[in-house]
This record gives sequence, structure tokens and C-alpha cells, in this order.
Amino acid sequence: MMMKFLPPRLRMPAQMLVVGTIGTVFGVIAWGSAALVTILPFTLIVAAWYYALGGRDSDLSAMVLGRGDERQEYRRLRMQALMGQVMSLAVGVTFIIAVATKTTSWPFAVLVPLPILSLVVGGLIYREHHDGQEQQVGR
Amino acid sequence: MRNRIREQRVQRELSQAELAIALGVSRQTVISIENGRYLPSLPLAFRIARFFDLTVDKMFDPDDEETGP
Repeated sequence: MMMKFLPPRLRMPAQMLVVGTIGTVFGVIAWGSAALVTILPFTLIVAAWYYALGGRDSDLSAMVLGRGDERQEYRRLRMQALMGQVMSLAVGVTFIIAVATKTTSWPFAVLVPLPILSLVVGGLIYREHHDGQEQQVGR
Repeated sequence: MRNRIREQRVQRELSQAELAIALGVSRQTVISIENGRYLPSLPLAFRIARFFDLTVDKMFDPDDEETGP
């Protein structure tokens, strides 16, 4: 989301507020005013947390603000990799539970192949040319 | 891998924050490299060495293999 006109510290909180407000509107349409007392306070707390984090001199705040150096970026990638692994595992376990309890399992037709598909796409996007090929002297 | 960053920084009477600004990294990263918890990339290793007017092999000692990224 483009929020370049805002100071860096306000960008993530503003994004959270926009997404949360949209979520609240959809929530109100779907479930009525109950969404106002669940989604909206949660959105405000998360936005405030992001803002507070932005004022700190820490790895986490640098990552949240998108100003991380190489170590912080490496750390963020490892965190995202862990999140991906946990999510993949969670999808697999939930699928097994859904099949065992004979509940709705059609969403898993999309979710189960997604981790493998994203792994293949990632391999294609980040592939290196001449991968595994021996280069001759002088080339 | 051992390095001489702390020694060189103290010799030049620089704080970790000042060194971090000079190298274009965070203070936390300088601390991590000094403590051997993080191995810098090759470009950053060269930046560090050049900043202290040393070569990379003088700045980093590969013989001590006790830490890694």
C-alpha cells in the first residue's frame, strides 16, 4: 500500500487502521454491530503497538519500519520462513482433522497445494542462471 | 570467527552507535558482529576493513570457528 507521504513511523499504523476499518465495515455488514466491539478495538491496539514499536531502537522496530540492515533483513527472512513452515504444517493438520471429522474440506483443495506451489514458484523466481553447470576456465 | 572490530573501535574512541552510522548499519548489528553472533556479508566485511584501514583477513580471523550467522 502506498503511504509514502506519511512519516515512516506512521505508515504501518496507518495501514493497520485502513485494513482494520475495511475489516470492520465488512464485519458489521456480515455480523452486525458485534464487529465494532471486536475488530475495531483489536485494530486500534495493533496500530498503537506498531506506533510504539516505531519509536524504539530495536531490531523489531527496524523490521516493522522496513529500515532493516542486512542482519535484520536476514532475521526477518528467517522469521518469515518459520511462519511459512508453521502455516504449512497447520494447513496439513487442519486438513486431516477436517477429513476425519467429515467437515467442510473444499477450501483445503486450494490451501494444501499452496505451500508446495509457492516453493516451486520461489525456486523459479530466485533461480540463478548456470545453476549447477561447471564453468570453463576463462569464461 | 573472531574479529578485531571492538579493539579497533576502542582504539579510535568510537561508540558502537557512531561506528554503526559510519558503516550504514544498525547499532544492534555492530554489537552482534563484535560479539561474533553475526558474520557480516562480504560487502559489509570490506566496508568494515576499509573503515579501519585494514584488510579483511586482518580484520577477521577465520581460524576461530566458534560462531556463525
